[in-house]
Amino acid sequence: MLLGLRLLAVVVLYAFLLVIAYVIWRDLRSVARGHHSENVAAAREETPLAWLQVVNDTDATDWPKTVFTVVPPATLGRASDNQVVLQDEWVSAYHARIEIQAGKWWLTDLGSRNGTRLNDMLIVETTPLTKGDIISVGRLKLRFETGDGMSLADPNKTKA
Amino acid sequence: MTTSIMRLTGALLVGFITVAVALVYWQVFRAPELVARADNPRLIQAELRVKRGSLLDRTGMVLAFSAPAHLSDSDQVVFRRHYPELAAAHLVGYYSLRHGTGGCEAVFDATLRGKRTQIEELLHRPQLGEDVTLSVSLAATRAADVALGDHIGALVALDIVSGEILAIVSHPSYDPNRLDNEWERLATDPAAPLLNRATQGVYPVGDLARWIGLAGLLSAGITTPPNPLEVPLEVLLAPLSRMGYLATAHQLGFTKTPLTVLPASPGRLPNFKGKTTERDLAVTPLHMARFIAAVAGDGRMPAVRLERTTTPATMERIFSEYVARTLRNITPKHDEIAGWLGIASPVETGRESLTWFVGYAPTTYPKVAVAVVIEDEDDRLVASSIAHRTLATLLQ
Amino acid sequence: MALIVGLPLIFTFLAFAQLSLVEDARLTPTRFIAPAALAVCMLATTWLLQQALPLHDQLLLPLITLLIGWGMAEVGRLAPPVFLQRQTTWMVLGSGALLVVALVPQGLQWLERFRYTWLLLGLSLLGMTFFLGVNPSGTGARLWLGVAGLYFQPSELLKLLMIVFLATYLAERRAALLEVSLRVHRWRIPHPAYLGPLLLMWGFSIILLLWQRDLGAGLLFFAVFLAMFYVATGQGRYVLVSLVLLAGAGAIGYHVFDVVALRVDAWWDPWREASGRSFQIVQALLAFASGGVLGQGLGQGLPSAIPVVHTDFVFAAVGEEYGLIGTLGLVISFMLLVSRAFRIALCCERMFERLLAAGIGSLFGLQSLVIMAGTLKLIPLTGVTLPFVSYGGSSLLVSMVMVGLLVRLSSRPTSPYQSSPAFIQGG
Repeated sequence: MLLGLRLLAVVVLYAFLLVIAYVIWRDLRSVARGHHSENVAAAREETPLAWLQVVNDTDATDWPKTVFTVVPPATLGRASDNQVVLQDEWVSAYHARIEIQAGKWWLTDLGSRNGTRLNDMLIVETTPLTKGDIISVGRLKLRFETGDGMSLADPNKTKA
Repeated sequence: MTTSIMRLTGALLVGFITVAVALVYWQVFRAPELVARADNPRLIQAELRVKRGSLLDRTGMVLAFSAPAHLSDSDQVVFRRHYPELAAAHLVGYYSLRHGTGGCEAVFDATLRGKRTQIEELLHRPQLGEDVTLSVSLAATRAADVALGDHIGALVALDIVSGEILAIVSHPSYDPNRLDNEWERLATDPAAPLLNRATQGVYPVGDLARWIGLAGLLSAGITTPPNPLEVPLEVLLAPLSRMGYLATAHQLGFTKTPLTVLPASPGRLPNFKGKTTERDLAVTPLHMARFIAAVAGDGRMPAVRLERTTTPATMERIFSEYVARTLRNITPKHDEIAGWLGIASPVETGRESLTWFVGYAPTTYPKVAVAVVIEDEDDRLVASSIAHRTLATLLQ
Repeated sequence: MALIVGLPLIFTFLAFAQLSLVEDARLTPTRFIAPAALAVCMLATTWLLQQALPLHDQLLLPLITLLIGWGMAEVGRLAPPVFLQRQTTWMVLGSGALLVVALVPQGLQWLERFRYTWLLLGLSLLGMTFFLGVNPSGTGARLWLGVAGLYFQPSELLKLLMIVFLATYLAERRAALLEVSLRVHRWRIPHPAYLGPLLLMWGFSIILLLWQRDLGAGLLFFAVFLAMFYVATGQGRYVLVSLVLLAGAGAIGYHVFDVVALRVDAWWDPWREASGRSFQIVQALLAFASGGVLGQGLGQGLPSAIPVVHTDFVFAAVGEEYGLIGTLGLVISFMLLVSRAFRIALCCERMFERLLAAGIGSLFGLQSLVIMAGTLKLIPLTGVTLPFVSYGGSSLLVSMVMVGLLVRLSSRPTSPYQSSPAFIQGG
């Protein structure tokens, strides 16, 4: 009886560790196959879909009116390895992220020091973006525009 | 940054693998050695759970047994050793966690403890030992114990044919049930109650030098006087040189330990310096019992055995049948018992006199040999009466 | 997926069933209160996290459930019943704290913003033990603060606050530490203006700990600091220099502090004084040996021969009663937990989060290694707990809070709908 219990405990313990090992292995495999990055690359090739236009209505800066293309997922920030590099001292190094999930555009603040506003509302969590929204980062206001290439936002493609 | 995280992870994993290797080292390779370490408290725990077999006398009477007991601070079942027969204390010995084992408890330890298979160990089954039937006769032991009474001394009785020990009694004695409590006192007592005088007590032979000398003279083919018990010892032994006497002592097995399993002492040869003489040869009662067993058994000396057995003993021929018969013929006889009385005087003992009686019975077709020694006693009848009472019980 | 947590719960119930059969000779219902509490807490936590953060790392909770359940079984085996009650209470509190930390809105900015506040809070709590410290067992180092029958050890909390502080500081000053440097001969060292406050804070806490003779915690702080510094800067030579300094400090400590000398001597040759100063380590090794490969079975060995077996030496108790099979399982569980923490660190996007996850991973890894290697005579013994397993409420609570942080860090800021397999972190 006791020996049975002991054996059972050992079996349960190692079954558990095996399950965990299996999960980790699947996890590693999917990373190695690069599901995620493949999707991104595919998306990049197919569709530059959105852009951000600087639309500052104040004269606080002499920022040239510029358009940034956005290939999701894209990060905005001061650091040079962002997709959208915003040289403004009020902008954090990695400030915000724009991406497509489930066929929709989403805006996320990456814990920036001065926060990100969407249509003048400070965002806390990931928030849906729609065409024409005004995103404020630092002293900049950016209008979010998408083309008609929204066909990319087919959920089946992002899932894979 | 990714690199440093990966490297740190790698370093920690190496640490864990080292721990795993150390685990294998301690739990597999060093385990047997560590488990057997004397200071491992698990040994005591395991020991307490062993149900040792019983020790029985030749008729099946219980001399030592284990019974379950409860430790006060836990509900585990442990076993305690009990000794119902104090008379057999020195032969049976003792079993103590603190002081180890002694006597037959030590000799038959492996059988008494028993063994467990790997499976039984895994299941934590209790370890059961086997019973051992000893050659000793409880009745004779009790009789000898009563007969010895308050005298300091020892008795040993042997079966002449099989070499079985029939009784060993040594006084003063002790209570093995209370050994742990009384160890200090017992170990420091000048009367040495823990000493088994029958096998460890080395006593000068005194008057019995005459019989050793006679055995030497007869074996060497030297003519002995017609009245060998009356001539003075020096005169009798004169034809046998000192070297011849020592050779005889050696031949009779006095320089060896008579049995290896129990604590026993070899005899001590006289060095003939100063006043020492042949009488100063010192031996244990067991040596003497074997000597007379050879006399009674036509010159063949049996190997001593403690376990009840039906097979005949391995015999060692120490002198010829002629020598044995001649010695038997001149041995004094009384009430179907033949034997030699002897006294070792204070000259030899260095203290009070001591009395020997070494004999065999019955006088025709002898079966049992006996040796008794009494310290601080010059009445030679004391030793012989003790021997008589023991032999009477044995031959009933 | 969430059912993975069921296996360690079964394991825990089996352990308590065995304990009940061995000690009461039958199945006593009251024995199963503690594992039932664990099951309720862990299943509820798993379910709530599943609802709120569907993308979090699904392996963290099952792993710590195994460790906590195993630990509770050992506490029930080795210590009086009241200890198990306390441990269970702390486990319930810990689950609550884990949930709160994982589910608090707005990410982890609250940790980052008030970093000096947290650190000062930790240090002042530790400072309070100088005046108000007690030891629940009566004598010994007074490292605890008592509130309403529960005793808390501030040095445990300080571990977490220290990691948070280091993570924020290093994340902010990383570039400066790397770029602004002084030249001393051929060596480039970080500018004191940047390194200074860091070393100051860290040194301060180490001194506080050493003052209290809590050597294990002191050593651990130092090692975690090094690990995080290495992760942030990637400069191996600082680590090397610090290790040399540590060896030097150890050599001085050997001659100055009796405690250090005792520990080192007991480590170097324990057999010489097996019944004296090295009694503990020798008894621990005997316990490991007695376990062998298969173990004696829970409740059927004699681990109580080791002093304070339920805290520092719980690993040896596992070794005796579960054998090599059990100890290897435990080591593997810790390996998985630690590698999971670093995996989370790799997937975090922000520097602070990376450092926080890496810091927590380092702490779990180093702490379990220090005590496991200590009980196996690989390194001198220092009194730290085996995370989650040892008896010790503060340690358990703080460890569970750290897992809460890991859960939070593993979960990308969520969109309401996500379709990729749940266990994949963003790449």
